[in-house]
Amino acid sequence: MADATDPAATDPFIRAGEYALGVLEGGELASAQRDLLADRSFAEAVEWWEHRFAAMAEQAGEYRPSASVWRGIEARLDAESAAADAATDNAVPLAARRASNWSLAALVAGGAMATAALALFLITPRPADVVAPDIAAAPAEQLIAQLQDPETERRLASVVDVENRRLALTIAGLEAAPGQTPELWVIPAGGAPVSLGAIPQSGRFQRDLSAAESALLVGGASLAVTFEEDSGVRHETPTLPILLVGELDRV
Amino acid sequence: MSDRRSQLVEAMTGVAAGDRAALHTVYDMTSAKLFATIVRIVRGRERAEDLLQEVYVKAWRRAGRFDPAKGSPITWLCTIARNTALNDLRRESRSAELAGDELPEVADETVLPADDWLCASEDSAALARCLEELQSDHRRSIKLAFFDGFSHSELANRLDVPLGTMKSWIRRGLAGLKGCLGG
Repeated sequence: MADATDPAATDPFIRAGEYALGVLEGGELASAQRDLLADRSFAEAVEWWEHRFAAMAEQAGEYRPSASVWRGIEARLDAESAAADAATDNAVPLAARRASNWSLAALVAGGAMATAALALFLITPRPADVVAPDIAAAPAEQLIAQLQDPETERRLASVVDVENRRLALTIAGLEAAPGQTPELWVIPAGGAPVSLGAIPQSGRFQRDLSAAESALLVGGASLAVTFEEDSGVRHETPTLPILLVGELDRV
Repeated sequence: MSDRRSQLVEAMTGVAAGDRAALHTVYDMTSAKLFATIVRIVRGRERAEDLLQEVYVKAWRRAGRFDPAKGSPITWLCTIARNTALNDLRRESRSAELAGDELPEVADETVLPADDWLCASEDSAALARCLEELQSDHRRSIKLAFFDGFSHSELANRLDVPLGTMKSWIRRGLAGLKGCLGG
């Protein structure tokens, strides 16, 4: 293997260049995507390379798109601003408006998710009035992650209740620009980031976790937050910069 | 700064302030360039047009994050366009539309009239000079990866070398660029 004699093979800065260039695939791509979220210096190196490479982008030449492309862009922006106006016209306090935007996003997230949530709700037996546990009862296993950025005062505290498959978040300072939303990501140890969906900009938030989500939320995995387009769908890859990142610890 | 470049920076400032007419100006000035970037990577016109729409909608939403001190608007837009196309390519392989009808490789010496450059010419001149210093195999692999979005194994196939050799070429090329560009 050429790698053994190749000093550049172990240089993270060169790996960032490989990622920015787009040549990585399979496991190498997944591990770079993970580092992009979990490692600030790697993310900065990727940006450095992207910026350098983009200087030659114009050499690709010019190729005219059809006129319908601009009309499509206008239509999409019109639809968005109409939705934003409708939200602003209701003179509700800011906090309430955020909450309703969030509910709207959850609804838009699509039939599949709503149906799944409803099914889960219907088949989950309501807990009987809980009898005070015996003193000897083992505490439920929990995972926590405390994420914060002292510079911006952005904070997110998360608790994963493993047994009951519940996620609880306390969020502060994740105010996103119009049309954007904070999105939560789980980065499995050694794996590529997976979206856990949009989250509110502040306040408390709880929801059930799917089996697939629970499988990813284990000790050693990390949580991260980015701003993404508020399109009502979970994104496949995160957009830089990373606002918050931190590891999940077993309590 | 050329007239066209300062015009574009001004229009981007308008976009950041939510001015739709400014977005139209940015679109008129840059869409043919971004479309060329995307088409080369995904190789299908309809798909590339959908992605182009997505790029300008993203640019509209993210314009507040554009920092003119960090680079020209065209560099910023091309990065969004290229990443959007690469992410799409990773979800779904290259369209067959232009596969048989191979696009010519982007030549080493692309002569664009100076007025047509929207990128800071110092930046592109520095990169061109540093690419020129690389071994030709390394340079060619890096340019094919950049313009056509080819992965390690696609490049190895295309240039008919073992995968390990291709990885080494790219790494050595990147190491050369890093040294030359002062990374």
